[in-house]
Amino acid sequence: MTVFYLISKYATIFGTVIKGLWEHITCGILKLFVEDGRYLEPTELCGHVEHELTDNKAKAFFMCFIPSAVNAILAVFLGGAGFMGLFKLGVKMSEPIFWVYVVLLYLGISFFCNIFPLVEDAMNNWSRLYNSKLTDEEKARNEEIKKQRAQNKALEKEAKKSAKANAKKGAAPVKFKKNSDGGEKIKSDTNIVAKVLLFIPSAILYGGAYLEKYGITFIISIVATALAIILK
Amino acid sequence: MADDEKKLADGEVEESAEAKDWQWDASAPMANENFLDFSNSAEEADEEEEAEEAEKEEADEAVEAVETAEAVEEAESDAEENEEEEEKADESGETPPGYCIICGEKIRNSKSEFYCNECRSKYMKVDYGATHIILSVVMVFIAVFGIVMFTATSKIAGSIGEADKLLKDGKISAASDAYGDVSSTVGTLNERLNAFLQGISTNFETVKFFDAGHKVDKKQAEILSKTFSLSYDDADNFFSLVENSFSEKELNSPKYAQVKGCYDYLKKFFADYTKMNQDLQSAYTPFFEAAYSGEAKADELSKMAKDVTNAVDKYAAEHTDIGNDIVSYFKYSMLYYAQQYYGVKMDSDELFGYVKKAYDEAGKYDYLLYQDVSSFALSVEEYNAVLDAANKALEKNPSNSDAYYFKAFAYLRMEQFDKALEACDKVAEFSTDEFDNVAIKANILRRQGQFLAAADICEAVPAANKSSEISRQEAIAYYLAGDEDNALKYAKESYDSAYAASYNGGAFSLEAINTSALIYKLCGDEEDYDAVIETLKQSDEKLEDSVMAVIKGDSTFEDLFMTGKGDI
Repeated sequence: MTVFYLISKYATIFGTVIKGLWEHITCGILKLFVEDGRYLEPTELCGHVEHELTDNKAKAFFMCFIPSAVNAILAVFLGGAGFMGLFKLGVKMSEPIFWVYVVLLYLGISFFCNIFPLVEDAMNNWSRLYNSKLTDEEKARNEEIKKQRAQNKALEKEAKKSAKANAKKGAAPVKFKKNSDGGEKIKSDTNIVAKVLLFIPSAILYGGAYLEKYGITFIISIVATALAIILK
Repeated sequence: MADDEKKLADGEVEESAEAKDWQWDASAPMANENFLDFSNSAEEADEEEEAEEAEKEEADEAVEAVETAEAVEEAESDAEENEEEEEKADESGETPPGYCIICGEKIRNSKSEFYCNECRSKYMKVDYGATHIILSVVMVFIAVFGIVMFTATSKIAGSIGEADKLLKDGKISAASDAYGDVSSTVGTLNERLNAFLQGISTNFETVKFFDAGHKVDKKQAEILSKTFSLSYDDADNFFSLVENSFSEKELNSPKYAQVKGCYDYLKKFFADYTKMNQDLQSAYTPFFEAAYSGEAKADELSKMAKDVTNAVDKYAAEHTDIGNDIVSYFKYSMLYYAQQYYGVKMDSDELFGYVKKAYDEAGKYDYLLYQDVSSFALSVEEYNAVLDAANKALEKNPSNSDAYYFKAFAYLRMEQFDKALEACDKVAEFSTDEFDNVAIKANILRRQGQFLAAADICEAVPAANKSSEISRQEAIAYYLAGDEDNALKYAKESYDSAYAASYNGGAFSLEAINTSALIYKLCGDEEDYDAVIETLKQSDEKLEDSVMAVIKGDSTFEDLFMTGKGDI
């Protein structure tokens, strides 16, 4: 399967490289570190970058969505122009614009075959949004963090109060130290509204990632183009 | 270094800025995590600090040995725990949650769930290089180009879509015009592109980049094959569309049988016509020369015309492959030409006989001749022939507004005003010019005695769309309604616009001149009347007899416009 995947990726090399570029840029925007930034490695990572997986739901979603959306938009514009020119208008080969439309159609297919994220990313997004239920341990830890934060707040309030009082008296401020929560965040279940809103795009990304993994998007493109040629 | 690593592992590094902000005295010795000192004296606090430091130094030395032993014990214990976890991980083949998937160490306060901070900073980074920048810039250009191409192509495809919709709705004439508009859309796009290129550099030559594609040409050829009337210019356009857009295979397919049939018929028609024209030149040239000179008498011209038709018949007998439709049409066109351009008085019935025979012999392609036969039939008052030809044309193209126009005119002359109005409404329904039926509708309403209604529909036409004929009908309606001021106003308007049209390559409408002259005279505008007469004299023309009869008082304005054919 990897061979077929690689054939589809190298056949649509422009979209492959650009998808890798968008993923790379998105990693930068989302501050996710990149492990491997080579876009054309003959592995399942071809057309993608190996980056650290995030446990942040928003980051996991946008890491899948942004590069996919950009390539999808480009696929619509470039492929749409090529498709309309060649099959709707039926421009003849003798016209110079015919070849422009051919290139545009190729680029459009190239982007279309590189719309979806790496399966690993799509799965991470899906599990973050729909499969992540808090364990008892995480719930207990959340309670601890909340408690610590409440204590810290009380301490801060008290300290400020006494600092004010001491300042009036001309005394040195009170020394205290807050409890450290290690910067740990409270883990929460995904908001139901977000779950509903992101369901369709996440499902498309998840399913599409598998389609692309097995080169099915490439086959769809070839079949659609062949049909358009036959039926035009 | 080891201390740093220990701190990193304990999660004490990278404390948030928020924490640092209010950790006012981090160096203060703490009794426990929840230490809070409410002592009020600064001096006491300083003393306490000094004492604590001294105690700490002493205690440090004392506990060093103990701590070392404890540390060793702790390390051993940790190692045992790690080994157990590693064993578990080996068994499952996965790094247990909470441990870095690269180094296997505890993640602690890392931003990532899978990597510790150390590994993140050591192995991972987001590197952007020149390649990324170049690729991004290239992509921006490609994306902009793609969007421009998409927009332009969508515009062309949109125009085609509109035309397709009209064709689907059976509005063939409107669809034909809409397909024509696609070419203007393409022209506009090319103009803009050239203007852009010229803006960059004047060295750019004009390019024809955008193209409507041959599907539009195919559709236009299909429409033309059902709708157009016989004229060499139209046929030439049709031939070019067919030859450039269809492959041999396509043209022979059943889908395009109509196009192929029409193409073959017209090709043969014009080939034979051209050949006859060349071969019979010696036969018709003396006739035209005599007609042109104006010296030949009427009976001489009539005899010469007969010689021409005999020569054509003789030629046809020798060339049996030439169809009777072409032979008859050739005779009709020769004699009609002499009548129309040299003023030879021809026998109208004979002429009509030729064109009718050509029409009848054309078989399933008779619609190509329907305009010739309809217009001539109208002039010789053969109204049933007009209706017959128009109906046949409508069978081929039910949205043929011209055919409805002929029907409306025929019914009007036959004084079947309701049917005329019905046909008139169909003209409005299918014509691309919404004011196409105004003049004839006003004519019908006027004949029905609805003078002000007739004037009102003419009045509603914007000045830019008002033709000489609409103004003429308005003037007649107002005069019949007794409103001489408006009659005079619109008679002048009609005359002026007819005069302007003649300057723009059109014919000077004799109906407009005669009607205006008559209204000027009847309304007492002698000055304008004389000007019209003078204009006519310059063209060796004079007022029509029917108009002169009204001026002389032999008949009335009502007689002229409300009885008989109801016009000049």
